[in-house]
Amino acid sequence: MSKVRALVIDDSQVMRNIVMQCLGRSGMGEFEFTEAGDGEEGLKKFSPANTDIVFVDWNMPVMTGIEFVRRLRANPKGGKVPIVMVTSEKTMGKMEDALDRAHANAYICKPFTVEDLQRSVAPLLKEAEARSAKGGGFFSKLM
Amino acid sequence: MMDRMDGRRECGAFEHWECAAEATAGSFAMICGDEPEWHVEGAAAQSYDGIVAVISIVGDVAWVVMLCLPRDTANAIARRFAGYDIAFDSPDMGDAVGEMVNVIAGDLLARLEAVGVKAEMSLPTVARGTDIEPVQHGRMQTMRIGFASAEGAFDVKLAVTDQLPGREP
Repeated sequence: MSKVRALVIDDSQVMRNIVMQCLGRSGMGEFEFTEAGDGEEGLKKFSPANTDIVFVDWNMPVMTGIEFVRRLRANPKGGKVPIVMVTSEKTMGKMEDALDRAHANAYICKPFTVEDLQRSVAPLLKEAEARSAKGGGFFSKLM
Repeated sequence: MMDRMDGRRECGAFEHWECAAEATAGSFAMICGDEPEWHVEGAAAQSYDGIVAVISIVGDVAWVVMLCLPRDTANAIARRFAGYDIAFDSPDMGDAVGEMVNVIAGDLLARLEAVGVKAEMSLPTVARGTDIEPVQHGRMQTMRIGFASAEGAFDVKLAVTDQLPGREP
């Protein structure tokens, strides 16, 4: 059975563990994780061929999460991969920056529950699956 | 309730301080399930041995928020936060407590925005030790808000300076 390949970017190892544990318990399929400690490392580890979805924190040293999203969206190879911001930033301005201007696909505020993750992530995985099925890509292998 | 009202009267220099108390209580309610009781303790320091996470709030205000967790409280809350036991002396404890103050700061910024105060948060810094106190340039005042929860007692210290970045004191 193929797994959903998730890139999890957060400068906190504990927070990466929480995201991975919640995804593992979410019932949204099996996940295979790649971890990065900041946006720059995330860009290095991102590969359109090996990344199905990205979870990224906002406040990180070296390169912030929002800068990571902008750079990935500016790269044709990273243009369509679903990006979920997982952050403690709760102001409307930050959400608008992430969703409307940087074009992240979803925004989850910390602390979150497995249900919060399911609500945000399940539709993104379905959309990606539908796109992939049309093109005979990764998600068509799950069907 | 009387403590909260008394605190509000005594802490005129700390306009919107209650946003920090409510952000902390709300954040811990989400992490632990129950909202902790809180009351203003004044500026006098309570002796503790534990771990402290510090984050700066800078913009229309210049605040330093310190989350001070005694050892046993830190162990209990970190377990609720991460979903597994974290050894007090491990790097993961610093990680977890840093994330907690990050969550509080995020909630605090949203509450400040709601009352017209714009600010940004820094990255958190975490230290283990005894009776850690903030020291800063400029005139600074400190208030302590005590919390009582099922996971144990803890404090949030709020240090307020009138020396905003780029402005004369």
